[in-house]
Amino acid sequence: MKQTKEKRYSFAKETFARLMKNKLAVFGLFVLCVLVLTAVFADHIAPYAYDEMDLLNAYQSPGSGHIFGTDEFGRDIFSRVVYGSRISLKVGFIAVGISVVAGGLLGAVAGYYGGWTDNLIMRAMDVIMSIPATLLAISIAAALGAGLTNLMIATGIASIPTYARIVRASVLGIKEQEFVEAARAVGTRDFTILCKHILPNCLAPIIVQATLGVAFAILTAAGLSFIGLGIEPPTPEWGAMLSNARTYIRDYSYMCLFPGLAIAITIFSLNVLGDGLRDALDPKLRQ
Amino acid sequence: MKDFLRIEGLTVEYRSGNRRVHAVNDLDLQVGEGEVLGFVGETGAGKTTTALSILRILPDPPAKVLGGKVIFKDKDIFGLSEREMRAIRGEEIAMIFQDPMTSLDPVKTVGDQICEMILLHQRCSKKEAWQKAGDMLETVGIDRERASEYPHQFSGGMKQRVVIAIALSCKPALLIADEPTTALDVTIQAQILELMKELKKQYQSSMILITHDLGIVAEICDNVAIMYAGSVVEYGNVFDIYKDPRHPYTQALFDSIPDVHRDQDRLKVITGLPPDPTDIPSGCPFHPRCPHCTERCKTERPEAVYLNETHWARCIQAREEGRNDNG
Repeated sequence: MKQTKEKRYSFAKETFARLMKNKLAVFGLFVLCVLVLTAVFADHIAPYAYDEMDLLNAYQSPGSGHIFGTDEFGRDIFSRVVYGSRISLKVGFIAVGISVVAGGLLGAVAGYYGGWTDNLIMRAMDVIMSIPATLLAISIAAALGAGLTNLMIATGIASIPTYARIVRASVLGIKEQEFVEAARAVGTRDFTILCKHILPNCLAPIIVQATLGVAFAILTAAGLSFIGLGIEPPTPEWGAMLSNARTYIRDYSYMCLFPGLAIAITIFSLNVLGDGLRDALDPKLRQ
Repeated sequence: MKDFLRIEGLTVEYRSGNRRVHAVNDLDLQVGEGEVLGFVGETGAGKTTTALSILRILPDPPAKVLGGKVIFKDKDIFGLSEREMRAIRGEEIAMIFQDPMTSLDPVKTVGDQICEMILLHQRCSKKEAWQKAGDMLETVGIDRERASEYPHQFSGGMKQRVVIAIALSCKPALLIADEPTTALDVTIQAQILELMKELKKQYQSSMILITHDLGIVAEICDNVAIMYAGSVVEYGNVFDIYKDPRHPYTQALFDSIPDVHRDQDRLKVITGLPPDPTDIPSGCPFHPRCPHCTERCKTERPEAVYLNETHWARCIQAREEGRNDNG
């Protein structure tokens, strides 16, 4: 009966408090916030426009004037990295959005109804899963053609099976619980039970996977841009910038360094945040 | 008293692979209006399965209703469409589940869960529903301010009160309580029983109380059905059954209750084990454990023998006097 005590913390608050104890996760959250702010206020932060060329000042090393240096067209790399955060975050979140919604729905239906529905959906997922995700994204992007939208769709589709599996597994466990039976006993529809009772209960693993998934999506998008299937120039995208700069890696290595660092830091912070969230949401730690 | 729930020959089995588990076999039962029926039997006797079939929420597969009828208010439950059935669930027949720890959704506030029931069956705004939810909480003895708290902030007994509040929020005509106090400790059990007794009076609903505690039955039930191996072996009003049990299984159940006034070193037990539900004995299912077993018992399935208008037992020797050493 320890739970009767006045404990006005809601579940979200508790989780957040536990997350705050994990220093690495806090760091991840902080970096992510900075990144989002950078993307939102890119116009005010970047000293130059991302496509402003200045051929006289090409190949400038990092230093005064251009803190990250300039590229082969004299474009300010700092400004391009700042603007690039918009694309990367957009790709990351929208692609994950696509896969969470589609994968979540498929997984939930498969887990809840079971039987042949389950078999049909999960075997289809197995087929998709048998192709390496990056390779699949490449082929989808190649089929749809280059461009931001197609890039997001390609990375989104490639990770649908991961979410479908996670959601299906949690639904399988939750649908056997008595409160689901109770909901059915009061005359709730199947669909309502699924949306209002089962899905909210398997949110924790989805959130964790989604955080890690954003990192994967950014990386895949960068990879696709690197091989020329992503964003069209002159739009700055970290992967594309990296790809472009590899030609000059011997003489002007800083051109690779900064977009590379941007990708690495973003992925790292998302990963530690995901790990932290997983620990904070771990049911074994709940009181 | 008019029968408003009647079950005739209900047969349910669970299939897993090649095994067939005969959970309910040819079960007959009736509940009158405003009456409390105690539904007694050991674990695995098919009590919960029967309850779930009344609401038609058996998990199918693996469960399958093979035959029988459930007549509720002159309607055949198995003949209704899913839509008509949803209208009955919760509004006309409500169920209280065994374990209050798991029968509430952990991510929704208690008030929301009561509201859900009200909004499903009554035409009213969210605000009114919330108001009613608060009223219901007060009815079961919980402050209405606690409606915005989550289930994990309640104790076991409190949670069961909430479950009862949900079940009663639409004033159901029939309440099925599936071992409502099994998961609670004894003092809380008493409180919950008291509450249910009180609310039963207030709402005038009929009730099926599933339990394996004969003490609880004596306390609040009008009639008792004793269940063994998926069918009702004896049925009658509480007085008849407790005074003059006629089925050997019922007698054995009463014998196994320890007498506090006598010095007893060992508890009396019923010899043998409950039958394997995949392989129910022929004839009378109780015959391998019955002290009065005859050759006829092994082959012939006993019909109900009426001892008076309401009291019957499925035993061919039910009418024989003198072998009842209990009375």
